[in-house]
Amino acid sequence: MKKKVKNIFIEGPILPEFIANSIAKHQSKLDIGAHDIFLGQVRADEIEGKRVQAIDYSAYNDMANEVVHDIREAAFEKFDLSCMHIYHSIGRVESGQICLFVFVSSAHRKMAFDALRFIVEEIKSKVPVFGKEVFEDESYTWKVNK
Amino acid sequence: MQRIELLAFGQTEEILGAQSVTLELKEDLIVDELRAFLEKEYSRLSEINYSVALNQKGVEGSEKIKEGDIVAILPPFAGG
Repeated sequence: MKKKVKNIFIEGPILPEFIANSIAKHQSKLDIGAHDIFLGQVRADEIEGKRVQAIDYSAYNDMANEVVHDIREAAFEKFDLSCMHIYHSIGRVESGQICLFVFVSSAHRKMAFDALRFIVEEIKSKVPVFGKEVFEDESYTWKVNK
Repeated sequence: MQRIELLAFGQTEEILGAQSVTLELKEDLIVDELRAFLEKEYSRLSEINYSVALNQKGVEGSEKIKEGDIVAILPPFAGG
């Protein structure tokens, strides 16, 4: 049976409190020996003399959730993980705020390190999320992942 | 002829001027032909590196488009 496709999107920035709560929830899971966390943060890049104030994220939601579901399944298959959580912002996120939160847990560190890198790279290249980089004067440019 | 609903997002939505458009296209159209058709209608599309998804899966240019497929043109990804 196919597992239910989860919604990865959170409106606006991902708050440090949300991340702290997420960590706290794992303290009852006693088979876990290693957590690894990736946090993507909006950079105040300077582009043609103008500084990025925020990124306004949009997405092809259904496809994005479906693709992340597949990445999740592939990661569980490939690595021995206890659990995995993936969240991405939608809407406006100011520079300095968090827009991506990936959290993996395993019995030992190596699995957690390897799985996290795999998941983040997959997200960056395969998930249809789009970003409008908004400058201080509210003009904008479209972001492209390197 | 077949009727196709085309979805656009971010920069492609901006170029099309709409989140979705309905197109009348010939039967057995392949993705590369759709791209050529779109780039003629909306010349700015040829300036960006967009990809095509059929029914929420990224596809190659040789894939056939069938009546009822959900077709999306996706601008470069910028997640994370």
